[in-house]
Amino acid sequence: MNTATVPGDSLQIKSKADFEVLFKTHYSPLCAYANGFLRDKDAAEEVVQEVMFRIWTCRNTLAIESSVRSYLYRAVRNGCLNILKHLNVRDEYKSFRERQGEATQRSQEDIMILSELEQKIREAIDRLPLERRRVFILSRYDGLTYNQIAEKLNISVKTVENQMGKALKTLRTELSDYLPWLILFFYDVFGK
Amino acid sequence: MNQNQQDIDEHLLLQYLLGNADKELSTAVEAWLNADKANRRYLDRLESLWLEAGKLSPAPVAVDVDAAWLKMSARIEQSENVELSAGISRKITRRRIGAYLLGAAAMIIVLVGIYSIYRLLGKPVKQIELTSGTVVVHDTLPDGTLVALNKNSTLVFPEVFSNKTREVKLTGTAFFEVKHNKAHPFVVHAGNAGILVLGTTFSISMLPVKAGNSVTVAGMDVSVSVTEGRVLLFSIDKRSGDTAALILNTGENGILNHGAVQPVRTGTSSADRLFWANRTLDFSRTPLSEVFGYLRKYYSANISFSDPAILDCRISATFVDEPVDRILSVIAASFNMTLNSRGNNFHLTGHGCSKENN
Repeated sequence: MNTATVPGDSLQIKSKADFEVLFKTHYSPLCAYANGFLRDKDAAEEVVQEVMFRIWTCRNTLAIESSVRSYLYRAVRNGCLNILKHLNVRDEYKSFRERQGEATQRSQEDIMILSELEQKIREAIDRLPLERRRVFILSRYDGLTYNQIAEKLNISVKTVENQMGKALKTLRTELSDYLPWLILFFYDVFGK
Repeated sequence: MNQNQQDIDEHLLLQYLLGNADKELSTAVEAWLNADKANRRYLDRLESLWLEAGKLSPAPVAVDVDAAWLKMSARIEQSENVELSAGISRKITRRRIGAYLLGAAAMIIVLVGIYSIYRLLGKPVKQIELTSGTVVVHDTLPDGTLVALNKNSTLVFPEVFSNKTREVKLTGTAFFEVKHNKAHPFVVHAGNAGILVLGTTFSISMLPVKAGNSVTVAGMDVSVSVTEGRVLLFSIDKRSGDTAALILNTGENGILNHGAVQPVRTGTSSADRLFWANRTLDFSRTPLSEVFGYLRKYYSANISFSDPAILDCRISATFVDEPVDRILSVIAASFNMTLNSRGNNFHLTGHGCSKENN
């Protein structure tokens, strides 16, 4: 049986093109991961850029035994923890621990094992055009209202509604085959 | 979605799911749901999507991957230029340790370094060595860059800049006015430090660091002071190959201490740091007490004043190659004082300034 290779999951970086694949495959999920620690999108991007750049500079000497994915996540986590350490972090760290204790009880290893559904949802979200993706994320994950989103992105509420509608439509269509059926007594409620 | 629901879209259904729908919308949505079983399935799928997406942990962030890649790509290109030079400076550094033992002389002249450059480049490009002895030397490099080389300093540069980067090697102190050329970045190697110029005027000086109490020079602190523009002060960690860099903008100063990997910012530099190069005195809220000190030192001026409060006045001004009487008359005019002069003797009359107002 062939070993399955995830695109960008090999560390045969022979050329800049190889590296581009690796970068583009992992950039967005790594930023999400870093953002979970730092709660600062720009800082998260910076950490991921640093880690990626180090991989590029050490590409010829880097020996990664395990998967690239776990190497990347470990490096990003260490980068984040360093930042938190350097900031004036007693409070920061405290709240980080609190956050960890929250509903998200996922260890680093868990993050490595994505279900197919999670993987598909992430990919589908990443494929949305940037503004639409921003609107969707601010609504779904940051819990902002349309008014707040409009203000934050400096667009009209009408545009937010529009983009949100399109985002949902695209995601629903793309993920249709993967979404679990909710077994509710939903039809009966309205069926009467 | 089935027909008859142009006015029911995903956005409205979501509001309905989230319980944000008013009565009118709820009625409309429910009517729509009852119209067709497929509509119910549709809402069901949407709800499923919303719930499943919400389980993602960590939550996704909206990053622009293409823009991020462009940034990375630019950084890679820049590093490739630096890597090239890093190879050179690493080799030089290793060879130079012996040279440091030569003694206490403040600025080190290293012929070995020049050999290394020769050997490494392995190209027939002739290297020119510009050395200042007891006087300051002014020169123009092949690319039009102006250099002032302070006493006891050496600058090595190729006869022609044929590489992608314009690379020179400095030992000692120098002031550069770099001809802007984006395609060929200008890189100065000074000890373990590299200075990548993004087009600009700046000075570099290396100060010997002594080992303990001995007279042996252990290494060099490399300071960079930017008069105008932007430079990147960097060093390369020999073990990890990582580059540590610091961007310095107009008016900023940085230092790479001997033995350190990370360059750091330093405070404002002294007003006379460029006096040796082009007779510049650069005052920034400098008290006259200090200003007079410089004028005595460089112009042998005898300055007296009617009121000691005058010493508390602060001035911000840059004088380039001005005679001392010009400088003093500007100062007198700035603070409503009268200036009397005879030969190199100057007397200022006025009320001065109060300390609190400064």
